[in-house]
Amino acid sequence: MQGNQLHRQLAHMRQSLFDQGFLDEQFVQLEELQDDANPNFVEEVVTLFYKDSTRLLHNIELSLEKNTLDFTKLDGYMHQFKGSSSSIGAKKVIYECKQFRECCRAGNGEGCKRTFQQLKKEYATLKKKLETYFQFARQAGPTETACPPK
Amino acid sequence: MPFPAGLRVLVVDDDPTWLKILEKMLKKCSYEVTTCCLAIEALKLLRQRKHGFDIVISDVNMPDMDGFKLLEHVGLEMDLPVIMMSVDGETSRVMKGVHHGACDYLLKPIRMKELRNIWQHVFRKRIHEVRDIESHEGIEEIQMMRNGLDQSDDGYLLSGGDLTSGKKRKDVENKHDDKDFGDPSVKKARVVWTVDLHQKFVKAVNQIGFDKVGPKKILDLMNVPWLTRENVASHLQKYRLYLSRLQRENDLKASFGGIKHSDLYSKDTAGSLCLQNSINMQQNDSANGNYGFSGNTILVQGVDPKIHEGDVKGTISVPIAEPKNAMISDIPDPQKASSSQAGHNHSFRPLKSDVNYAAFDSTITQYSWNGEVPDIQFKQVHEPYLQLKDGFSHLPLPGDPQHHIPVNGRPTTPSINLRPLNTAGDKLTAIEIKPSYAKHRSNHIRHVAPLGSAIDLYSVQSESHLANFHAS
Repeated sequence: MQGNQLHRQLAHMRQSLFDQGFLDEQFVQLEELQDDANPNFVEEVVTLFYKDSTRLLHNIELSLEKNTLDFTKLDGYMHQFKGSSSSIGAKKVIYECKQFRECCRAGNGEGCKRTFQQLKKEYATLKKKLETYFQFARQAGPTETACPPK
Repeated sequence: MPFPAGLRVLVVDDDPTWLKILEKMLKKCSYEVTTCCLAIEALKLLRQRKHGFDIVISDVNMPDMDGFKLLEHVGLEMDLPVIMMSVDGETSRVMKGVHHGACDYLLKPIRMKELRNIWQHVFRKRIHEVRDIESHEGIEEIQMMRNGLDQSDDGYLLSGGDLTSGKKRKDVENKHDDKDFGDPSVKKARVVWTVDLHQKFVKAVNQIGFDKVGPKKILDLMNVPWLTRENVASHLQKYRLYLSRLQRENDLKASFGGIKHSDLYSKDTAGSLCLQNSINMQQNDSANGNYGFSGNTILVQGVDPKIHEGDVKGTISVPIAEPKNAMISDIPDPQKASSSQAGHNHSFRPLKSDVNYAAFDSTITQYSWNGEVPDIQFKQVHEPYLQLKDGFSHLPLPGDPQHHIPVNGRPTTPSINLRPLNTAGDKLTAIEIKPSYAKHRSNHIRHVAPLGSAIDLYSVQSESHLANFHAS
């Protein structure tokens, strides 16, 4: 049926997010937390993440514009941001966070800026993908939250 | 409710996403969850709802207060198990957590499984308390708990190993004190170190001399019949840890100013009164005039070395009680105080250089030991906290009408209106220092740092004193 079709497509969409390395195990944890009491838990968390992390990213952005970079501060911000990103399992974003922190430790300003651009890209990409995913999920209608295939 | 369902957890994290996730996870474990995104709020909550929580889980990186400090406060004041969380798994950080008393250190991302197990920490702690009591009944209780827990999945906590070590500890403790046996009334009671009790404790410590102190001696001096040697011993241990940490921090801090952790700073701020959390009386080189006001505590540290024994007679009222009461921090904003610095300095001058006054929070024992920078959590760490709702007119200590700090709390001017002390020369107006510490030499109290020095606690006297911090 159409419903099944949609669900299959949804599952496929979901699986590719994992396969392509956009999401990690943490996302699965979130899915497992979703239940009748919080039927849109995952989407809520993701939305909250994107909303809250904007501020942090903005701070990093500003700090990177300074003439003299304060690597300690930058590292601190990134540490926080990384922590936040880990909450939704944003795998690629987390990777960029690590790269950024490496650059901070090496005092590599250019590296930091480059990595940050990359990070923002991944961050935006994931956001779009997840938005599409959730939208699709709503269209597909409720489905038993089965244990996602590993 | 079948254990461990209903376990009352307070989770503290400044990351809203994590807070939401953790809340959900904990609820899935059937725990009763309260969330908080600020460490200060958390402490406030904990103090307000004494015994209202079984365990605290907190992130290490909090914007308003170092998670480790929160950890320490919770451990000292409320004696609750605290689990730290962090994205950072560096060994040194973990060690720090352990050193500060965390009973566990979880790395984010945290799994459900890990949260499911946290109840064990609650039990473990309770069992240890029971052991501390050292009574036969204690063993029975352990066994009862053990039997109860066997039914749960992760009951390894009460393995034989634990009991054995517990017994050993018991035996050792037994040797030193046979006072606590057979006191069934104390069996399950967790000692709440109230301001009053803590003051007695510190007083005893000071009298004995910090380096010569020992639980038995303290207990004897304190003269609190229901208190056991074990209670004192564990409290002493915490106290020492606390002091040593203060000492270390103090060594690092150059000057006060940071509101963040505020606390008191003893440095050279020429007599500027810094309130937010502390009033720093900088007097002379050696003096550490620090007064800290935290939440409900007023911590006066350091003092003008000129004060001599017998000169000072002071009491500090300890504002304890509900947060609304005040914080002395309501007292003149130190920043504004600059002009009247001198005046204040004077007033504090008579204090002996290392006098420390600690005020305790009534609801929980919040102590600030002076010393250097008492890393005390001041309720009013930040601006907003300074303004108490009712501007605290006075801070009554629960159950102890004497401890009362009538403070006309308006952080008006810097002048701290202290009642004059009957010391020659400048006096500490509002703060009357009890003669008791006068017996101590200055090197005595000096910095908590040496830990060898005694730390004086000044009790609060009612009318007092401290109170009138109004800006004049």
